[in-house]
Amino acid sequence: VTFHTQTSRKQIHLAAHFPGVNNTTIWADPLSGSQIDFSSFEHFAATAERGKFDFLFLAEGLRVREHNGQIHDLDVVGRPDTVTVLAAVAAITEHLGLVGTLNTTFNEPFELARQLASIELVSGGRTGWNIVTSNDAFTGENFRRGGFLGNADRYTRAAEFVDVSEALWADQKIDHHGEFFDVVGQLSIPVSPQGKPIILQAGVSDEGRDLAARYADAIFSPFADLESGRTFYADIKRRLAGFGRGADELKILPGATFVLGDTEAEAEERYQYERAAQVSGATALRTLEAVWGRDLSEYDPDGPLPSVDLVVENVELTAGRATHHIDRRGSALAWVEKAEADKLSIREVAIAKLSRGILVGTPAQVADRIDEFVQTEASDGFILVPSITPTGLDEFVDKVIPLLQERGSYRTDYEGATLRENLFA
Amino acid sequence: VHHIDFEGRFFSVKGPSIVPRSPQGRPPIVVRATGAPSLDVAARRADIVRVAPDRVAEARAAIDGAGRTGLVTVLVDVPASSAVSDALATLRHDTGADGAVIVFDEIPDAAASVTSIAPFVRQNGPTTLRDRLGRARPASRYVRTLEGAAL
Repeated sequence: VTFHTQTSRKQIHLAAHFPGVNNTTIWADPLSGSQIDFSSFEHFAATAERGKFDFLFLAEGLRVREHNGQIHDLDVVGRPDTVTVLAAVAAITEHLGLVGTLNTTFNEPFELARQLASIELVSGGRTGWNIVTSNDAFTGENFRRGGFLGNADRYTRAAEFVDVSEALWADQKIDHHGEFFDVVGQLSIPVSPQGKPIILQAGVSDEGRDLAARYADAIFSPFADLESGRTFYADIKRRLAGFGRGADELKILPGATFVLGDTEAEAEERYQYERAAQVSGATALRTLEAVWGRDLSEYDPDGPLPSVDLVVENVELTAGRATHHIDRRGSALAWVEKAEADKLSIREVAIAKLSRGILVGTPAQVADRIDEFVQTEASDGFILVPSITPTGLDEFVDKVIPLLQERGSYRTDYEGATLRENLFA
Repeated sequence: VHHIDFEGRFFSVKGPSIVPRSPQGRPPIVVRATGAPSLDVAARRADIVRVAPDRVAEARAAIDGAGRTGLVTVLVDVPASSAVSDALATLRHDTGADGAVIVFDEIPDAAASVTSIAPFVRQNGPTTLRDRLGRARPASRYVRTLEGAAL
């Protein structure tokens, strides 16, 4: 008989986010590869599976972003369809979960539920769905409806969308007549080995948190510092009880990028270099324009910030992004105060304001940091996005994963065959 | 990268496409023509039209009528029976079709199927489907030409 005297450590869950629209991708690096070629997805997924990651994560944008009426070409312009890439990755992996971001505002439930059930079939139950909603007329112009949903209605539609999908995944013959959908029929695709796809949610508004507590198996959270992470973690776990769910039934995974070095000083130096490479002068100016609501192309990115008095309210200069500036003048004031306090140029303050969720240090320090988040209930792991496509994850898998395994906080092999078995092992 | 600003009876789409143009330009469009309305769409829009063996001449006439002579591949359905190789051997003569869609009643024995059709297909060919059909990659609608030089 073996006695386990040590309390077993909480297990870390990691996901690999294929880089997309962000300010973390370094374009100019000689190692930077295609954002589109399947070989990039192939390499990235193989690395994630080698590192025993829970899942691959794909974002999605249903309209190419624009800034001040022009295509925003300082970032990824387009990418292949999420469902198609996940199906292709399913064929070249065995254990890795496959999570795609798919929109409930512009899709139809029968169609999307069928596509996800089909990836479940070809992957043997490794699929996940990151549910996103949208209310912007800009994206809607690709779907005929324009901005057809009010801000509150988008979550009502999402909830009904998931209800219909879940009934279809149970391979029931359904006769649904609701506020948004009328669906009569059956998928006639067998129930998947994991029952149904894993559900992720990323919204952190009050409605978004309730939607997550009711339906989600995991949350893609923006809270990647210990204090806000713990507050968010406690809030979500409290909401779970309100929906009759246990605290362990939902994983909280903040998004983060990482910078490694052989010494702390080397990591810090590399971090400074990477941030400068990630946020060019042009990117800094466009970020500033989005806050100020006006053209600022005459400004020197290495010079001081424009006056707050120049802010134009109620103009959304950048279209197709996840975050919008609601209190424009307040946001601008925060930028100016930050710049004045730390004596920063436009580009430097953009780097500071855009730097969230970055794990910097030696492999041991980064492993410590991740483990601290999980053992102290600031998260259940991380969704990691590297800065180089597609090889940026290699170093993390080679250097940090073995340290997490040594301390008994991370799997040395996949626990099960399905994503659900691994995420809730 | 271009906005398409399409406005039609059924669809309005702003664009641009989120995915880059494919190696073959765009996927070949296949239409099964069973009567006048589908044959009309097929003749005007399709790269491949599927018809019953006795409608090949009708299909060719519709394609000619649409001004697309030589641009559309006409295929007929051939059941996957023991006589499949005989059917393929006399296909062009008997029906005037460019090729066949072999319709299997059950999941085929792959090796036996390949052996029986091997004499009729190109062994090493081009890589895109459009190339296999012997069709040129369509030019982008956004290609601009300068005087005397195509970009």
